[in-house]
Amino acid sequence: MNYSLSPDMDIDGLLARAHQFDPQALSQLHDQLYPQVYRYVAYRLDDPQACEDISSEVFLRLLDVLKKKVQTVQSARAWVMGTANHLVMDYYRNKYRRKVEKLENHDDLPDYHSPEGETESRQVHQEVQDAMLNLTDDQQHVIALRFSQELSLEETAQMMGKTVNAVKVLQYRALAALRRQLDRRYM
Amino acid sequence: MTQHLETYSLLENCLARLNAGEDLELILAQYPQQAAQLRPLLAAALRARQSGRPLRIPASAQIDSRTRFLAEAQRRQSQPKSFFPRLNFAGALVTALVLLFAGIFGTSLASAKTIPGEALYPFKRVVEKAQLALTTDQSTRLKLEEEFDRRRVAEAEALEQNGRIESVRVAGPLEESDDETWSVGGVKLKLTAEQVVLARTLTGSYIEVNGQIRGEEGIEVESLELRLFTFSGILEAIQDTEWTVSGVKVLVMDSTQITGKPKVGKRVDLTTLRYDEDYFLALTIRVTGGSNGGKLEETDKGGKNTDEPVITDIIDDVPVPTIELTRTPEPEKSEPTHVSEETKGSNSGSDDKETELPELIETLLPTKTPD
Repeated sequence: MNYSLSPDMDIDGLLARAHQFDPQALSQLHDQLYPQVYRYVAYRLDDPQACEDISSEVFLRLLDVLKKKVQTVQSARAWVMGTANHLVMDYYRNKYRRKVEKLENHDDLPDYHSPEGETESRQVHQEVQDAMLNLTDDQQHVIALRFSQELSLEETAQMMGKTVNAVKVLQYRALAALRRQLDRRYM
Repeated sequence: MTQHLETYSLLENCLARLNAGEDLELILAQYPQQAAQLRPLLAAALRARQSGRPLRIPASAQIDSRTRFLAEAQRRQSQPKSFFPRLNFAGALVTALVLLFAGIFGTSLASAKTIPGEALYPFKRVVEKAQLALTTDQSTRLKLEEEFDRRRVAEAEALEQNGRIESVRVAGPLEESDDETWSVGGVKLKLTAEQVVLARTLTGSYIEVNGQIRGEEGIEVESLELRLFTFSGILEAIQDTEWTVSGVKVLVMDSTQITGKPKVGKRVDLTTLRYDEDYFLALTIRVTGGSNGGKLEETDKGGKNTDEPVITDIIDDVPVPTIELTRTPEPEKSEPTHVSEETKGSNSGSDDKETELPELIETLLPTKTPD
């Protein structure tokens, strides 16, 4: 949900006002970035509550760097996505082991949120998430950026602070690694 | 190395074509030599893309997150407090003088009917600000703000009829008519497809629009957002989710960010949305301290001396000297106004607001459909 005409334009010096903690500017900035952050996090975890918590935490942390490091909406977006990546990694480091044990013990429980058609896509989602956990941080990040919301190569490069060529190489390796993991597990 | 780079670029081309909806086999057929190498990668890419299934972002999650974000920003900003409280008094003095001046020369009357682009118009806005600043009763002040919002709408209507092009900012309820035209308080809006998506989620809400009015075509919208009302006053009553602050009825929900320990008698700063005719919906509530530390209930009887609210913020953005009325100057009170870190702890009074209010948010965004 974008609160303004163009998500990339710094309308009326949005960032300048956000630096002053102007509530209107902050909520506009938040609402411009939130959907992408949420989608990204939801792509990487299957826990709606954690997804909301992490997305929200990303924005609280944005306040720490807003004045110093963020001069454009684009750089704000790159920063929040990078932070979302770190928080997701932390989440898995801290909590995943316990959760996996629980899930594995209850694999046969019916999935009560899923109507028939959705079951398959949830399963794919789960497979990809599990497989991704064995990739490097950067590989996970590049796949989530490119496939959670179809960012272009250039946008992805910008968000990762890498060159376009570096991202091409990275995504190649990431997909190769993902493929190996999926093969090992499901194919 | 260059050969490798070609492979990487080739993969990128294929991904772009997959994204555009081309068939995997057709793509691979064009690169028979690399097909064996590309196939597993593209298959994995298809999986990865399938995994990003269309996702509904819960509106309540976004609002919660925004609320926390704003509250945290407000908390951080309030830490280093204003160094020169006297300046505020000077600001009040200036506005009082403006009002006096306006009274003497009758300009406020003369300017009352002006519209943007006319010579007296800026004066009208300054007079309005002064009126707001000097209105100490909170519910009157909020009514006044809304009255001024209606004036903006009336001005926009006048501009519409005159066929003028001007930058405007109007606020009011967002409506969609049967023929899918959008309006705020009756003024037509020109929305892009992207803005329509946003507008659908806000239909019926009290919103604020910035843009260019272009005669009868209506307002070409640059930004569209929820209208925030900020004010401060004395917390007079807490009844479940319904609080009264200096006569204004405020709804408090689960996601309302409360800083400090709200108690009847304490002064609070609020950021709110218009909920309906009678209520405001609180996004953030910050306790800025009571008049004498703890035993505050007594102030209820005497009332007036502490009840004079402090206006901390005028929402409009026309730069006017800081409008903040301080109470009768009492120099010995040098204690900073903000509350220190008693923040996170017990919201003793607000614990019973647990259940009812998430759906308030749903009503705020009436078009949200259940999954």
